[in-house]
Amino acid sequence: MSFFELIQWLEQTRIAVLVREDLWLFPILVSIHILGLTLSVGTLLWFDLRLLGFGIRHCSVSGLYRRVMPWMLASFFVMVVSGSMLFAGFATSAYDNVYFRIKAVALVVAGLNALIYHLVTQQRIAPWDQARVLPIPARVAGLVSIISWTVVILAGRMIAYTLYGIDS
Amino acid sequence: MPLSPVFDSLARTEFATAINQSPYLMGVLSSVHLLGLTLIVGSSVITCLRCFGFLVPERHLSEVMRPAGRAILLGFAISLATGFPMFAPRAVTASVNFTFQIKMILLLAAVVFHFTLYRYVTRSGASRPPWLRLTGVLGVALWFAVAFAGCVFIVLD
Repeated sequence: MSFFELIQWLEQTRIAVLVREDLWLFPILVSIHILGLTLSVGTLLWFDLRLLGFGIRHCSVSGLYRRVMPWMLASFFVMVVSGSMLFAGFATSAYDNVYFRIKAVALVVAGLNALIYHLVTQQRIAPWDQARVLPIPARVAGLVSIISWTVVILAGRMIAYTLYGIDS
Repeated sequence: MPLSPVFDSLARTEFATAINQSPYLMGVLSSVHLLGLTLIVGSSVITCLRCFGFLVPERHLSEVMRPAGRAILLGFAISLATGFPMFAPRAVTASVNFTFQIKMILLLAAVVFHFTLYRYVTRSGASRPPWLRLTGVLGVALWFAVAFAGCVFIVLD
């Protein structure tokens, strides 16, 4: 089964049909997705700023992480669930949409960046946990995170304006 | 003074017509609008965490609330700068839309809150816990309500 056949199948599932045909489910999902995104990325931004040496510089990196991450992860979960349902409803149209592809790439970059930070950079946090100016790998992680999530937001919103071929 | 002629004139301006004729421009404006909103919501959560003593409680309030307050104002400026051009082409219909009116009332309440209670608590730094917590909760509730009303307006418009 090719990837396109897979998303064709996805678009025919019961939940996908419900997303397309139910009068209220689509607007409710879009609202939940946007609210989840503002909460998730909005709180993550403060952690990224700390990595870059801005914002709440008096707080240790690990301390800020512990406080911000529950909000970020909970809203991220909400965003992923609602986003997956929205994608299922319009999977083949989204597959052809350039902004969806940009968003998908930016999501992968954001995910890999977080993975590298947790598996590599954060493992040597002790010497710089309290420092105001952090080592380059930590600053790069903050910068890549801000850029990739900004692209996710910008491209994600553009999908709504281009999904049905606004040129036609 | 009735505002409908003003909104009618606004919707007929070249500026509004140009935006209305370009879905891409509307998309870009909406995307940046969402960025501003993200900045506001995240910063109000950070403020709330400090007000409840979960974030650097040993440090002065202003060390968290001042940068968070600036970020909220920056997010507000971005949202305003992008929100007005989006409003202009549909000024007539949006101004009589119940959800939009609710959003504007909530926005006004959030701005008043920011320049009164939020500013007072940030400057005094010595507020007692009930006032602090009220400030934190009110900030998140008001800005989140503005975002929610905005979402409802977008999807039902």
